[in-house]
Amino acid sequence: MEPRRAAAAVTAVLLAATAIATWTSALSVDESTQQQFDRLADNARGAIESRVGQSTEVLFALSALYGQGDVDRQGFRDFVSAIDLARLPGLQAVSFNRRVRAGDLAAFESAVRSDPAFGPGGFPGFAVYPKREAAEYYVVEHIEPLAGNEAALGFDIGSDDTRREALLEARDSGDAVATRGIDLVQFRDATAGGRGVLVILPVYNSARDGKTTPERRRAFHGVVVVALHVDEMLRDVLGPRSPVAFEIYDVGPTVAGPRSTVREADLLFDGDGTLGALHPDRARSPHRFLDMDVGGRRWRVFAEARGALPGAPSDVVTIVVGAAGSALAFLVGGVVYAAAQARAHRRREVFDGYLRLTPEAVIVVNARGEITHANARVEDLFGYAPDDLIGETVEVLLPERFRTGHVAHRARYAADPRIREMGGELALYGRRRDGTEFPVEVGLSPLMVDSEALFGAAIRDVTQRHEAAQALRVALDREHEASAQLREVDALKDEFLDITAHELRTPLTSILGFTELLVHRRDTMPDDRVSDLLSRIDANAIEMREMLTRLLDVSRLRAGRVELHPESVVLRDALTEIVDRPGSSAGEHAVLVSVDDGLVAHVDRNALDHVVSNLVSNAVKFSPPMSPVAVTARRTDREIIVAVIDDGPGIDPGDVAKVFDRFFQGRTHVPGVRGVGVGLSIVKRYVDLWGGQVWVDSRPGAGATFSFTVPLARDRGDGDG
Amino acid sequence: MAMGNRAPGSVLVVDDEEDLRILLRLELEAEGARVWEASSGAEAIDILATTTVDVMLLDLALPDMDGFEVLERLGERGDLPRMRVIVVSAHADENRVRRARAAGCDAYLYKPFSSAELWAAVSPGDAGET
Repeated sequence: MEPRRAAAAVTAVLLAATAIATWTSALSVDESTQQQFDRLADNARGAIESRVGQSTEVLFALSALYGQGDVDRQGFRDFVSAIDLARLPGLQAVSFNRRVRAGDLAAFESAVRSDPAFGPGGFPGFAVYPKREAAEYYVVEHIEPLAGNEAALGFDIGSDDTRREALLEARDSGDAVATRGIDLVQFRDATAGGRGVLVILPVYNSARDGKTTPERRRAFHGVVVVALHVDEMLRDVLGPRSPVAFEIYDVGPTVAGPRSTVREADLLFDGDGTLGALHPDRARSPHRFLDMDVGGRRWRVFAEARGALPGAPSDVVTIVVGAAGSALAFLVGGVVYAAAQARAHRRREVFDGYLRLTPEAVIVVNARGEITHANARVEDLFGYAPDDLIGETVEVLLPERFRTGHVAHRARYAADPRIREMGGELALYGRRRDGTEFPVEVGLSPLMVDSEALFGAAIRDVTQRHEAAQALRVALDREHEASAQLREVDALKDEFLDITAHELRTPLTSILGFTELLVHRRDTMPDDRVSDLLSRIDANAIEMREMLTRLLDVSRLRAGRVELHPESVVLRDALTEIVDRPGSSAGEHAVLVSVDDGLVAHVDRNALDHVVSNLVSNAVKFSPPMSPVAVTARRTDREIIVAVIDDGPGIDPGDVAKVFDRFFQGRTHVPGVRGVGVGLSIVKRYVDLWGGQVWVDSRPGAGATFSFTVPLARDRGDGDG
Repeated sequence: MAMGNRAPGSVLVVDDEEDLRILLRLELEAEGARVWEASSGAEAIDILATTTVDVMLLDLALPDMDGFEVLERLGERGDLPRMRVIVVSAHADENRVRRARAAGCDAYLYKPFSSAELWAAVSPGDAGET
């Protein structure tokens, strides 16, 4: 697969996997976070209860102390100092508020002023405050630790509605009762944030300990009170360091029905000062409300997760999963890409190596006909450096006359691309840089590279093949010609032999017959008859010899085995000698030889002999006995014309042209004349051989004149021979 | 050897070769036959128009017409049944022989032939056809 696509696919798959993993992780983080949050919120409630409870424990311990009798100042002091107040953060003070009847007020004040526990001089400044008219007062008699809480001494908590309300409820119920959030006296003048809660526990005279409200009221001695600074009490567990932001609101007495919504006025504690409980729907993190009861009051705790919760898997995990997964996806994608690239590169290298080595010129052409690649061999074939061809149109490699057609051809091929050969039987030519052409064969194949349609062409120079084919054709033609000639010669020979054999039979019949007659009947035969027969035998034998000679002549002439050796021949002598030769064809004819003086020819003597003999023999055969036959020779400007003239029946005009063809005998056949019709053909052959001409003039009934030319001998100095 | 037996009464020798005519005449006359000569087909036909012969020795290669034509003409005229026809030829291929027989010849002489062959053809007797 193409590298980019492969890498993209792998990366996409891995990213998808990462997305799923991240989402899963986020979900699980969310869930854990939620769980963790719930746990922390619950823990907070526990912490609040515990802290409050610890402080309330003090009340019960103190109450138990009062159960054994009234506690004096020093005793109270000792008791409180025995408490490790460091363990009780937020516990501002522990106090005992005595029930003082109006009538007893002055005495009470006096007693306190003079209490030696204050040190020498007592505490003269002690006074019950605020001044009011009431049946009884509930006065802070003891308060510890004293330092920082001195102002509370003498305070009549009955003067404050909230306090008095809680006190009376505690007196009547016997239970510990908490006030709602109040500003602690101690901090009244101090900075804001002095919100606190008093927890009030009644103390009764032991003698009149009772279970009913009236009994309790009668036995009511006073209350022990712890003042809790809620913020200080809870800051270290629910404070800024807590991963959960807490807010605590007093929403009213539990029994009487707490409010459903919180108000700022109800605020007891706000861990991060955001008052988020007032607008819980704006919270972005997990959040919830929890309710708890503290001293008869409903405390509503608002918890909102702040940042990462301890122990919860943080979003870091999700981020890490997401980041790592993505990084891995891209890394793997990169590796795949690199590997695929390397593979493609290697393949290209192999391919390029092949392109370098292949004996063919290889080019790659795009859909617009431009050459995009060319191997080194193109230079050998076309004379262009490969780089010069890049970008050129492929038609530059063709002779001009092919270019237009090729463009159309390319379009057709693009429409139906297949692997195919071009050239082959067609004459396809390439054009070199220097303009010369050479025959080519082209193998085409479509390629698809990076979704681009390309065509590869492998080009072969087939000049050698062409030339070879051409040479073969030429050789074949010559061979055909030669074999046709041979066949002709062969047929001719056969025909010739046939005819000659046939023709020879006749004289042979005569020879055998006459011989037989002489052998068997000579005794009864007259002498003249015997002589006659002997002559006829002789004549027939000669005839046979001449036939055979002519046969051999023709054979040699046709085979080209005759070589002429021209020499200077004195014509008169030569011609006379041929005619007068004993046994010549002249026979009974008087052959006249008429030659101009001093004519010398430049000719092969033997050939001349053959020609003249044949012509004379023909003349003799074809003319009646005793009719004149003449042999003449005269010169023209440049040559000699020899003629053999007879007075025979002549030759048909229609036959004149054919008379020199072999075997031709002519219609006007003289009875008794026979012979193989090669005589004239032999004549023509020889005359052709020495470059002369031969022809016949004749009219039927007016004899025939056969003429031929021979070259003049050069040493005569006339003409050019 | 001389054949004394059954020499035909008269023979027509048709051949354009003088030597062959002489040869045959001498051979036949030596046995007492009367010999006529013709040197062409036309001549032979003329002679036969007025003369009847016992045997005709006919060369197939005649100057004016070949032997077959002569036979044809003679056949038309009805001369053939009256004489024994012997065809003489330098060719002896099957076609020619068959054709000759079909044309009405009684014997075929192939040149060169011996005297014995000649007589065997001319007067077969017990020897049968040649």
